[in-house]
Amino acid sequence: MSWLVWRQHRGELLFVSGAVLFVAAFFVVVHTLLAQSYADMGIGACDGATTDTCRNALNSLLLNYTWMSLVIYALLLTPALLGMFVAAPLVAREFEAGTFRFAWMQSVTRSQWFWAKVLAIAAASALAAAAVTATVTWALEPLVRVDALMTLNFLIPMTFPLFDVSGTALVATTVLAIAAGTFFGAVSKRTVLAMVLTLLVFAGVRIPMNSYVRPNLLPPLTLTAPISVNNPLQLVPLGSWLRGTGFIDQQGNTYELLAMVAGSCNQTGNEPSAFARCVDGLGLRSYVVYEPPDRFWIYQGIESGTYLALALLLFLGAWWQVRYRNA
Amino acid sequence: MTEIVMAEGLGKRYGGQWALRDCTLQVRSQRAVALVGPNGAGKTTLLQLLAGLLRPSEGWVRVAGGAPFQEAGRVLPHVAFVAQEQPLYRDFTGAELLTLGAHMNPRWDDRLVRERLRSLGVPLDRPVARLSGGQRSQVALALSLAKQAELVLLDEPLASLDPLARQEFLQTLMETLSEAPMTLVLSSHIVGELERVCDWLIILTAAYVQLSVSIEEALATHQRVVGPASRLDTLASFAEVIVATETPRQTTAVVRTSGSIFDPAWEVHPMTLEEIVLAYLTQARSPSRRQGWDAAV
Amino acid sequence: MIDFFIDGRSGVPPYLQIVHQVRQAILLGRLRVGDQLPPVREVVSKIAINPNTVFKAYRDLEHLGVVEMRQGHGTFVRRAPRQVSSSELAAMRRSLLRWMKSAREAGLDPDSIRALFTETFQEAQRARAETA
Repeated sequence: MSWLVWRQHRGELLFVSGAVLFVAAFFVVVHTLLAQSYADMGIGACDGATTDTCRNALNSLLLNYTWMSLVIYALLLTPALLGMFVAAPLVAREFEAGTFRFAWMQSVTRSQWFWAKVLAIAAASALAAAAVTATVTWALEPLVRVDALMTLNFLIPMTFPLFDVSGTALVATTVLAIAAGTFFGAVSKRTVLAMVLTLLVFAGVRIPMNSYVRPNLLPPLTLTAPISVNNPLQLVPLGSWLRGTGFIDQQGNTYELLAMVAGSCNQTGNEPSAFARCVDGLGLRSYVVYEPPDRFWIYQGIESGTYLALALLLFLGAWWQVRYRNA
Repeated sequence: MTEIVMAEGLGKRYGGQWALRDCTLQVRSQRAVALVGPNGAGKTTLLQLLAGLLRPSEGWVRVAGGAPFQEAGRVLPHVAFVAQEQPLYRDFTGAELLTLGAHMNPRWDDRLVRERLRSLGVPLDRPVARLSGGQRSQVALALSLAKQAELVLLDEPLASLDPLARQEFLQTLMETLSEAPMTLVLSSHIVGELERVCDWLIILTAAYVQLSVSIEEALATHQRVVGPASRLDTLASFAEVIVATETPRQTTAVVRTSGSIFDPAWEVHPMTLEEIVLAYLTQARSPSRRQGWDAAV
Repeated sequence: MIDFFIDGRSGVPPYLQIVHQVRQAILLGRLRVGDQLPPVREVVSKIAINPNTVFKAYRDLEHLGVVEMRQGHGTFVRRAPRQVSSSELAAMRRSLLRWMKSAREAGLDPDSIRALFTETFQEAQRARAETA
């Protein structure tokens, strides 16, 4: 069976390997450039956005790499593409072409045939996803550090999109996409229909997970600070997911802008420290709602675990369909 | 001699439609069976049930002592099946398909089939999509024969072949049969092309088995008789009437008898196998005269 | 080597046709004593008939004493069949003409005579085959 799986799917496997190598090469280049920029701009010495020089250096580096999020978005699409173009035809095409009647007569049981193909494709895809995850994590570490120092929340592991390419997320979503493609291919026995269903279901699971589930998994933490603190965002752990920021009064009401509540203090003139003392006297403080980076692996574990459990159900469903239902 | 195929009450239903019903038969080893019937009669269904590609809706079937669908691992090495469109991985070359077979089947001997393909001029280094229909069918046949299975099932193997390709296909099949004993079941809706190759006849119409006998017996026991009008019941008393037509002047019937017809009122004519099959097909059209037959060797 | 052919429309079973063709070939001198009959495999690879048909024909010929099947070597023509003398042939022809005359006198037309003869002949062949 292994000979057949290789011979039948060598095109796809070689293509995916090639794509992984391409991505790896790309990110190696990116990493080299980042290291170069780091050295040129003297960012290594910056411990935070404390001095003006540091702030300017960090800013200009980020401006040079805003396109990186687009690249990450593209990487996020690859599980869906694998599910549609590799997994959906895996079984469906054999049903459409009638070749399953040839394969099933070669002294292998339906189960052997199914699992050999599925496990090979799933393992290869998971491996590719792991390779991409490792490469991206390693290559973008300098950029991530800069983003964290600038508290932009743009490209850090705790937030979308980098969260979905870090840790176990990409591997789990890839395996899920493969499972969905296999399942719909086995059930519908039509490649194009399976591709469409795979995409719909994959998006239908991922989008709610990102938008509704992840933000509500654990309650965020809140930190308050006196108004005199210039940038309260710097007080949270580096790399935290910033959920919100604003001002809070002694009654617990929150405000986005200081001007909304500190009206009486506006008369103190332009002197910042006097203004600050006045506002302080009113009992106003800044607050930051955040999720600390030590929650990264909890969230990764919960989401990946869910995806893998779902994938297992889909694989078993596909296997049951192939093994027990008639062709 | 043992039965390589045994089925009892075998049936297959798709939704509300029965594709095969109440099929009881035994096929002795080393028979060459012609499975004949019109399109949609259930031939493909029966063959796929024997191959283990379909699960029976009712009844049971045993091939080489095992249930083909449920015990595929045990039965598959003993059964070869070539489906109607002779599906192959079209981008594989002939040589690669033979390698596939060698890797996946416990018993595999392709020396003879390679030799035969070579002598027929079928190139093995070209993707089979680029072979002619006749050459592709030779490759499909070669793959099924190299498996060294005791039971070889071929579904309408001649349907899409030109006369020369048909001839070459049957030559290959018979040559292999002469070298290694196996049981063959070939389906067709034209019995004439199978008559010289097979020794057993199973007629299937509208999901039911109408007849299962040796070809020799079929030819010996079926006659066309012509006799006086309105004497059908007399005829039925000493022969089984398959079909009959009556005009005011005469009665013409196809009958099956175990002995000779001595009544001088009836003219007896021998029949060809095709005519016999046609009689059963005609009979099946009138539901009131449906009869199931089973006969073991 | 002799090449067999099967006439599908003659109504004669294929194995009998082979038996006839072998005997005919011997009669006409195309096959001589000691000649080997083509192996079964070769016969069926040329004319696609069931190998058992050829086996049966060769066995029949062996029973008739016409050929001899030697294990591992093949099937060989054993001895010349009994030659029919011209006087015997003439006697058979006269007897047949007498029968045909009686049939005509009984009221049978030529087609009926031929049908009766063919039917009886085929039945007799089948009966002989069954007892063989």
